[in-house]
Amino acid sequence: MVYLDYSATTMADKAVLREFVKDNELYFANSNSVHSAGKEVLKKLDQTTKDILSLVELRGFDLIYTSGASESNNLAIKGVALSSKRKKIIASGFEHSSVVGCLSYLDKLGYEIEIVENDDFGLVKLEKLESLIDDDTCLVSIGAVNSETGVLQNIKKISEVVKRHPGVIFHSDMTQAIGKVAIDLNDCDLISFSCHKFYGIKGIGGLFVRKGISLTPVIHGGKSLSKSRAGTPANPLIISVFNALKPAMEYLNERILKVEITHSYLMKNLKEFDNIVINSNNYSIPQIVNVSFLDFSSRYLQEELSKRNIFVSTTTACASGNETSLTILKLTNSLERANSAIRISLSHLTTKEDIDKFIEAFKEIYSL
Amino acid sequence: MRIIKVTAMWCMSCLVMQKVYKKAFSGYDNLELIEYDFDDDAEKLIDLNVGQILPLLIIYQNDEEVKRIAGEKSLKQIKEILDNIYNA
Repeated sequence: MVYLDYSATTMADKAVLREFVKDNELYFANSNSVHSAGKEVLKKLDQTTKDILSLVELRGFDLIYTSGASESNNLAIKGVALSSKRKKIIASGFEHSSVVGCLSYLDKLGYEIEIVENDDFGLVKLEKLESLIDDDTCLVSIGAVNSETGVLQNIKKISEVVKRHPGVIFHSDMTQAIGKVAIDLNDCDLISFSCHKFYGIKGIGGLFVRKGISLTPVIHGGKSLSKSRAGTPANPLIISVFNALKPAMEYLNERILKVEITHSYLMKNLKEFDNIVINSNNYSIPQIVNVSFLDFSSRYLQEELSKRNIFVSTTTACASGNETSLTILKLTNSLERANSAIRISLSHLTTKEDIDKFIEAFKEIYSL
Repeated sequence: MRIIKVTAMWCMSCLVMQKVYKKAFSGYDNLELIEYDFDDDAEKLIDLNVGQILPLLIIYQNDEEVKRIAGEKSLKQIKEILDNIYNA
């Protein structure tokens, strides 16, 4: 199998899985219980949270554990909107479907949703963002890395704009950024992530929350680890966040370097083909290459590659049933490119041989 | 004039166009607007051959389909199309 879909999900690290099995036996008690077994688990979870915050170098933040980034985005956006008297939310035009879904929901409730203009690379226009923020704005939500094009926003500059307006909270969906790029999370107030994007287990993610920010819960119930998210804590999954994040942060530079080499090799090979257009650009992270093979529909190419045990994505896995990439259409204004776009997503685990097999398969499909 | 509007909750272009549509649809007497959700109303959309580009407007005049507008468009572009149909 040649897996080139690491931005959709990654396989869990074996060491993380081993610890997970062990922790299911060691820390099975309910941390909300007041007996000593419960207290011991609570102590372990508190320490894990401190360790995670230390690992990502966040100061003055809490961490709310969720089922993944979609829930984190829901909690961040609806949580801020529903607890604020302000009614305006600003987002970029290239957000994940879980962000767009929240915004559409709030739009129906009467909130004012503004989408900030972007430049030709897909980057938020800072002066436009500045002009949209007013006294009724409660939240600016801008994802760090677009999951289809890999374009990395300038989070620091965006943060500087938002910080000029007291009372406005800055949320960033960092699902495609954490463990892939070096980024200062302290520039944001709310940060969403999902563990399965960095070789962790599916079903666990989190929302980093700057202390003092109040969020209306999406899941109501008794106070658990956080009053903003009810439910018995998933102890072994929570501990697994740290176990997955540790190597992702510690070996970040090493992994980026490996991906950059693979990325260059892929790009060099792609350039040999006629009739292809690279939709990713100079602002894209090396892990994501979006390319339109204009002679084929994206679905046909994906299926042909799949028959050869090579796995890539067409649109993001989260935009149900849609074969045309609306992201590529929006970015390039070309239906031809949107209908023929595939996303190749790389990892430090991707080898030169994987790329060779992909290119060989593509040549074979091309000659059919 | 009757307009069928097809959008989806997860679709950014649909969200962007909501404000534009509100402005574009005002000022026409007897405009009948039918709103469908791409996922929730999938069965109703089968015969309409919606395609892959959202949002989609299907415009009818005297019960006959006369125009489709797919994706993000400017207010001016939509108004021009609607005016031409309305005044025909």
